[in-house]
Parts: sequence; structure tokens; C-alpha cells
Amino acid sequence: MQLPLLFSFRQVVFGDGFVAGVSMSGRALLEEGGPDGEFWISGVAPVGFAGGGADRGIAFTEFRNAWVTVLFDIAAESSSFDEFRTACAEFLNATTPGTTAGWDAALAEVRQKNYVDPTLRRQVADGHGVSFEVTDLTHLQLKSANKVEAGLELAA
Amino acid sequence: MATKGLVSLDDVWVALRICAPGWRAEKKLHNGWVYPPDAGPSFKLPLGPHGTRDNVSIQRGHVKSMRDSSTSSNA
Repeated sequence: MQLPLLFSFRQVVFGDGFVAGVSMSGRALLEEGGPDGEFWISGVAPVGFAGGGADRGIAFTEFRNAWVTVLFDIAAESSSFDEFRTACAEFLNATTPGTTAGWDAALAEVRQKNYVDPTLRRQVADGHGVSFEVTDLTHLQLKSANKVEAGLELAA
Repeated sequence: MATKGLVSLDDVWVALRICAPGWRAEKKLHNGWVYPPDAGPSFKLPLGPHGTRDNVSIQRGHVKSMRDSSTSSNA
């Protein structure tokens, strides 16, 4: 069974002459017990990266690391914050019809079976849209702006 | 990171050249970005730890995810 996931990540990225804050609410698919008996989380919104391992915790860590390294790839090739933000938008907006349909199908199955996972918080998917924000922190006036990531939630 | 289901990244590049004409790979700082021929979203394959970039093995799941995520082209 594939599980539809919601995630929210926040990351500070240091580039060549700029500092940026990237926050995102996205969607992913968790697949358990493939041929290698591993757990894999693949990006749906955005698409194009994945992380996996022997258990869900490792898969989540690798998935988040994969997301971060893509941001670092973009930062390494950006000569300004505006360039970074434009390239980030292209990455963070990326979807494919196939993965989106797969996520919708998994969501429908969760709802049909009224599936409850003891290790994941449930979050109503409707109204929990995909969004991201890229903020220029280069000249940040230091003040408290700490927010805790929601981590993974089961879309329901 | 798990050690099961590893595949040589060099083999992946070779397979892409032979089996997926039109696909293009570009090595960046942390990932190899693989672009489909239809200008759709790119897929990212980890290049492995810095300093050990020769004969890197990656988890097969990355390649499977790339294949599953592609729609109009076959990787």
C-alpha cells in the first residue's frame, strides 16, 4: 500500500552573497516493503527526488536530506538571491501528472479504508495545499521567527 | 543509509544513454540532474559523499522513483 503524505520543511540556505530561507508544504508518497524490503518516500509536489532506507525514520531523514541537497545544488549555481528564488520556484513547482494521480489514488484508498496509522498524525488533505516561500534573509533584522516543522502527516 | 539494493551510478548513466535516448544528465554539486526529453521536471540522483565520487553506488530506489515519476518518456 502506498500512503499519501504531507510534509512541511524549512531550511536556511547560504549562497554566494546571499542568505535565503526556504519553507515548503508539499506532498509525497510512502511505499513500504518493495523488492528490497525497504521504505521509500518519493516527492510528488515537488517531484524529482526521493529517500529510502530500512525503516520509515531513515526514509524520512534521507527524503529531507534529498530535498535540502537540491536547494544546495541550486544555491551553488546562483549568483544572486533573485536567481536562486527563480530556480527554486521551478524546482518547488514541479509536478508530473502520473505522480499526482498516484497520490490522489492513495488518498482515495486511505479514505475508503478509513486507514489509521499509529505513527502518523492525520491531516485533512483538502485545504492543505502545496505552497512554498523563498525569503531573502541576507539583510535580516534579527528577531525571533522560529517555527517548528510539522514533519510528516498522513493525508486523509 | 541502508546498504541493500545498490546500483552503480556509472551503470545508470550508461543505461540512460543506451535505453533512454533524449534524456540528458548534468552533474551538479550534490546530485546528478536528469532531464527528460519533453522538458518536464528533472530528477535528482545523489552523487555520493564528497571525496568518494568514483564508482559511487546509489540505492536502487532512487532509480525506481525516477522511473515511476516519469510519464511521457521511459528512463
